[in-house]
Amino acid sequence: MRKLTEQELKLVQTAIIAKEISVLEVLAEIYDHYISHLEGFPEAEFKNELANLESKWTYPYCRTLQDEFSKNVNKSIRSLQWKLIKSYFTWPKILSTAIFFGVLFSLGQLLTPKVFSFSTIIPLIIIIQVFNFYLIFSARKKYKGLRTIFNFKSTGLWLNSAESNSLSVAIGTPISVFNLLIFAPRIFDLNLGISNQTLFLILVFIAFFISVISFSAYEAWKIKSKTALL
Amino acid sequence: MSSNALVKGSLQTIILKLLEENEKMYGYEITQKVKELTAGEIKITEGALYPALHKLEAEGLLTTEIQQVDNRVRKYYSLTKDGQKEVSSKLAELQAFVENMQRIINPGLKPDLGF
Repeated sequence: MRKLTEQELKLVQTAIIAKEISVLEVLAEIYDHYISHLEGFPEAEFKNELANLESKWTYPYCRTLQDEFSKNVNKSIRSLQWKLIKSYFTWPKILSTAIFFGVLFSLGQLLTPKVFSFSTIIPLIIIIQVFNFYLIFSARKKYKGLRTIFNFKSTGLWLNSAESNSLSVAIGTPISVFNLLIFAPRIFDLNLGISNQTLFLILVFIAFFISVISFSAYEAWKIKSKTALL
Repeated sequence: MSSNALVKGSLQTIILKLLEENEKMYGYEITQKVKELTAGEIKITEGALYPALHKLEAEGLLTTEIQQVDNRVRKYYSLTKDGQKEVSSKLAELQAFVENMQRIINPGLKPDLGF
């Protein structure tokens, strides 16, 4: 085993950049594979071994690997989040869920729809957005070393973490639903003629929905962040 | 010597078995370990290994751990609890298959393969 020279590292980086990989998890794995392999050979064999690696890690293969990885990550995060959501409606967690819903329901009855929205839904959305920024920031921080080598200037690509992206989408879903429910009727100038009682019920369910989705996404992040690059 | 199709069909079992014995391994290490154990007879290609690792991770059979090595990141794979259970079932499946193959190839032989 030997350490690669700066010039050799540069050649490895150039070879990997040509594959146009934008998912950090895949990029990190390929880079480590290349270096681990090349470190096992003397300097005289470097070029042959790099060519050997290049014949296996072709552009189409890397693209497929990246796409499949992103799909697998999305699938696993969705299934983890769904598992967590189901657990909120089974014993013993259902007790806390019922209490939480009860609190929201009582608040909804005590407050006017406007005050209810400002005191529950809006703060929830702000917390979600702050958490979303934290997620992006922490993924960027963990990949700092790799991002220094494979930066936008050298790759021409915005590098991102598939795991962090997938969680951001999961966290962003309730906000999109909220926007859709609130703004869509306005855009289409719909006068739904909703009574205060119905509006109160809709708002309570929106607040409940946002809380369940965001909390499950937060829990999924807590589980994933122990293992993934989040 | 080894058929790629046969190796590909047993790849998940190979990965799970290696991780059962080695606690945690990274991709390149797995390829080298297989090469070493089979004296170079079986070579796991990157084309098959990484998709299999990612699939097993997505299915919750493997978990990953990140370590900083020099100026790069290394991803270690290890078995989850579900993965540990899956090893025995995959090995039993493979053992049954090999025994059946033996019966077909050598009808007179009584196979007794221990894994």
